[in-house]
Amino acid sequence: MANFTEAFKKGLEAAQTADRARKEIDKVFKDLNYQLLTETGNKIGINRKEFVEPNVMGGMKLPAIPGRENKYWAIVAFNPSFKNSPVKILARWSMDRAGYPCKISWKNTLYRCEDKEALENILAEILQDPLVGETLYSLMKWEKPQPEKGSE
Amino acid sequence: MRISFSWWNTSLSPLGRRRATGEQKAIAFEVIKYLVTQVGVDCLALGEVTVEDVEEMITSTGLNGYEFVDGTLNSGRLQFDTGLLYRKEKLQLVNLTSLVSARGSRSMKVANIIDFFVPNTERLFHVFVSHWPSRIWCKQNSADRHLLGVRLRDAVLELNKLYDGPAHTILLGDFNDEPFDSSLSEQLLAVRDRNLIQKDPTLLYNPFWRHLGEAIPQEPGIPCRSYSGSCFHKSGIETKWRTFDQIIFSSTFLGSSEWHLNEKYTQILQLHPFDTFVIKPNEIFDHFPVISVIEREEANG
Repeated sequence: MANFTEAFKKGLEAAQTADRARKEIDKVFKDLNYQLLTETGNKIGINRKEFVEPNVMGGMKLPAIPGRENKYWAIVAFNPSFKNSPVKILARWSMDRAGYPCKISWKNTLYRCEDKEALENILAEILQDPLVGETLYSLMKWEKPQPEKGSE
Repeated sequence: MRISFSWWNTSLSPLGRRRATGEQKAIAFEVIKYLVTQVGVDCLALGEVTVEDVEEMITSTGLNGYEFVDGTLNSGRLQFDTGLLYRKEKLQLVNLTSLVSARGSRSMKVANIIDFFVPNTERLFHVFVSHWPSRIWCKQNSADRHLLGVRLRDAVLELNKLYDGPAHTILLGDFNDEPFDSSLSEQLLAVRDRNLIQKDPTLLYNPFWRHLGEAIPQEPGIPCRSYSGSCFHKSGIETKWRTFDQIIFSSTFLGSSEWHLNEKYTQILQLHPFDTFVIKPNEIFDHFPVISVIEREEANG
């Protein structure tokens, strides 16, 4: 007879490990967000957000797959001082059901981060990039568009 | 229609560091010219090159009708040192992605993934070009080598998901592992058994299982000088030859689509007189090119 009890125990253990990994990953992003908020006086926040895109690859349509929507997650930056701040995509993001590996797609490279240290290293590498620096700087300097005169 | 794929680790600029003399570059450019003009290779992936090497080669050989995909990206602390020449008439570049596996403070290059559209067909080909770390830095059967195989397989399976079945995938490169090493045979699941692939189309076929030994059989009275691999290790103890350079195919090339691998053209190109440089002590060259060919079934009438 199959040992279902043992399998059940393994499943519970795997669920607990995955839960720990996901919490650890959440904590990395929480720390990143906190540090940037503190450093910029509440002008740069980092979050993960879900988007929807059309089913294409390099400008060409891929075979239609019924029932499958092309949703993706991204690491985004925004200016929390304004409710309607632009949201800038820094990199694409996805995560294994078990937490690790998590995937960061940035500048034509797909990084598979196998652990917390690798995740922190890749996030730090992204922040050091000059183009990302420009994006964050423009967000910090962003100002709410003023309503045109006489429009009220 | 026929498309030939070839891989050659040129040994010119390992990890992007240029080291070849003018004479050595001239030898390498002759090999590339031969592959393109005489063998008629349509898609030639090159290892241990820089953009400057390839530009110099294109100028000196007067190569026409080919485009270069620069895969020598400097991705953070990582240096990719591969590139790819392809014949514009047969392939159209769609996309290039580098795949990196990061663990702790260490990152490893898994592959450059190049997506091609094949004109006049509805097909996208996905070409994975890999140059895995040397066994000096990453020991045989180490956890990192297993991880490279696992991550390469993950990438293949993710592509399959887009098609709800096996994609048209070709993996080529210098894996610094042989077909029987665990990273390739047990993790990537690049197998030797074509019948098994018919039963499980997610498996990959590695025709280089058939190229592990001497290229020419020993027969009395018949010249049988050959080499038993693609890569020469002059300090090898049990063998001086390894089949580190391979081209691997998804099951779609074994009868489930209009594109077929024609295995009689799968070879290690033990070119003469280039072989004299490969086995020469203190010479930079230590790899032969490898080649494979796919053919498209043309509709009758």
